[in-house]
Amino acid sequence: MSAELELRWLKTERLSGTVKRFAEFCKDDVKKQSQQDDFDFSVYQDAIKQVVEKLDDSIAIGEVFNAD
Amino acid sequence: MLINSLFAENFRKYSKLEVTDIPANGTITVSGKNESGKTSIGEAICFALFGRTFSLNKNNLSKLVYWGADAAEVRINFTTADDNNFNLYRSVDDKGNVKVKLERLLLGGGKAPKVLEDDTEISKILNKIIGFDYDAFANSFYLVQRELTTPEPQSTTIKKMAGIGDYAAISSELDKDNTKNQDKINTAKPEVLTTQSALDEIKLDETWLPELVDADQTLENEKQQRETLLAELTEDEKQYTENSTSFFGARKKRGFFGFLSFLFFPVMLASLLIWVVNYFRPKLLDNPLINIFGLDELANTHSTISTWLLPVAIITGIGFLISLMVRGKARQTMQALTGKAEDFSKSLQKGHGVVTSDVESVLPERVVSLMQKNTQNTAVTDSSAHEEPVVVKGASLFSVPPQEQFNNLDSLAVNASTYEADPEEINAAVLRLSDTFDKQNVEISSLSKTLSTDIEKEKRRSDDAGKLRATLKSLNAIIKDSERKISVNNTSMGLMQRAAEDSIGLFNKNITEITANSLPKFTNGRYKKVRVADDFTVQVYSDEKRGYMDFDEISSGTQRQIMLALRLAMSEELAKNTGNKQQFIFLDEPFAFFDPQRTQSTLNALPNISDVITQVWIVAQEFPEGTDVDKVINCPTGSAELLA
Repeated sequence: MSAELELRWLKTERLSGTVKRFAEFCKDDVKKQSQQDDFDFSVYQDAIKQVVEKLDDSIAIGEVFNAD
Repeated sequence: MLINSLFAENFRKYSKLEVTDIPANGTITVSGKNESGKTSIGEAICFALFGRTFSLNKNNLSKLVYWGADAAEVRINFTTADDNNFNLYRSVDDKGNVKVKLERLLLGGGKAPKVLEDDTEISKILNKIIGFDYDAFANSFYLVQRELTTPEPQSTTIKKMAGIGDYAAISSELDKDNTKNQDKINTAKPEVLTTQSALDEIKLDETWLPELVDADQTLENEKQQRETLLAELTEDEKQYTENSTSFFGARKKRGFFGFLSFLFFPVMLASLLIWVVNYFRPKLLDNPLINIFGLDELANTHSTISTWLLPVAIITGIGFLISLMVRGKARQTMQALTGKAEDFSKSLQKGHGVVTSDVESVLPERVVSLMQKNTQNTAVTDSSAHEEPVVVKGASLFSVPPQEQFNNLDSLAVNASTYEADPEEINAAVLRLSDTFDKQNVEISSLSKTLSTDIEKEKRRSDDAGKLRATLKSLNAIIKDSERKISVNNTSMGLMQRAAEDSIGLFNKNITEITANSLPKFTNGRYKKVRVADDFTVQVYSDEKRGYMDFDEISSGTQRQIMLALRLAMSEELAKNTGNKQQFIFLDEPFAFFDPQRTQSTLNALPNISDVITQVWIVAQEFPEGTDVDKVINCPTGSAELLA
């Protein structure tokens, strides 16, 4: 399985704005990075997850405005 | 984000302001003469969203209150990118006190949602649901009358427009995290060395403690064996004398009745034979009887034979059977007693084996070595336990090896198996065994006690080593975890660096493409292309110079036209990068330096200039006749109310 396919968990269609653009960039970037000898896919995936998590600061509107 | 309606009371020039039915797609023109309140509409929107205006911050907001009123209040209804609908209320009194309220409207009905009233919380949530803060707003979607400049090249706003605004903050956060993780590694590594050194010093041999525990169990077994054997021997010895008497009695009886049976059998046989012949063929006996008793006694002898020999045969037959039975019983008794004697003999032989063997023969060599040292009262250090064992050959752990005094025990045991051993000798031997077993058990207990101390020491060393290993494991886990986090953080930063370069390239490309559409219309075809350099400085392509010019090389009038095109392009990028599929823009007097022709062409171009910037508010004193607009707001002169 190629590294690109293993990024299938990264659903860009569910994202928007900067985080969407970042996720799309990662899908391209992984193809180049995976060619390098010292490429660690596990670290790479965790790095993506970390940045996506930090960029995706969207809030659950329903939860914020739910009456107690 | 789109504005659906705007309401204000006692705000700036207006005692009452209502703007409703605002189109999501289209141009909204706000016109009026000087001092008619055109700018107040933009200020009302800005105040509602961010609690400030371009010229007034939170320290002088009371100036927003309509002259003579106690407080100003603004309410806007807006829709976000994800189609959520909100009412945002904000008021300020003449003392400058601000109140704010945000409620989400459920268009389909249902339970009334919670209303937020905390200013800080609302600011935080608004920033997330609309995607931009005041600075970004003022540099993009809100063009005020006096301002038309590009954002500072290195400002947060332009980075946000390019979609890399958060990268710097995240990188900084990750960098700090790396420092913390490196500190953890730097702290843990010396601890690893110290702990490893302490562990090495212990020199724990994993096999030593189990060996000691096994040896202790062996000693316990030896002790148990002696106690069990002693109990058996004492009991058997008591029975030996009695059994010996019984055995010899039985043997005597067997001999006697054997003799009787030997005697009875031929008598019985002869009596019976003579009687049978006499009874059935008496003639056959005539000659012998005549020869013995004479002819005269023949008849009398036949009669005597006939009368007496049958009872004699019967009586001797019975005697013979009884003798056989008694003899058999005696033999059984002897067999049973012989079995007991043999068991006793075996116990004696076993006892002899145990009592004449050294306890070290059943223990591992290095345990024996340790015990010899302990016995010799030599100081044994913990580490010495791991030296090569030096067993002193021939030296017994027992103080008095009882070899010689039991030399005859083997032969005694053999004799005892046939009750030939003297009970007194047996008694004396068992007493000696008992005495020796007791002494040996005292010594075994003493060895065991010393061994227990060694086991406890070894357990403590093992526990210490276990704790050190656990510490090592934990420290190594911290180092490994920290190193991985650093690796992930570095990869994240590398990713963001490349993503930023990619985004800047894309931003530049998009700006160039968007302005390529609007710029010729705004500048009457004089300038056609704008580019944003990697350092976010703006350059304009000049056909005359056939190259890119720095922005400050252009006349200020044209700068504003270019800046309007650039502002729209950057606003579109910001909207895209904040997830806003549809966005309003408020342009206050954007055509101040435009000639009528450029104003007209710009007005015509604005509604279709972007798929994202769909709701365009334009403020001007007047608009050329025939301008195609979707909502017209005319600000009245001399009235404090506006309903549009």
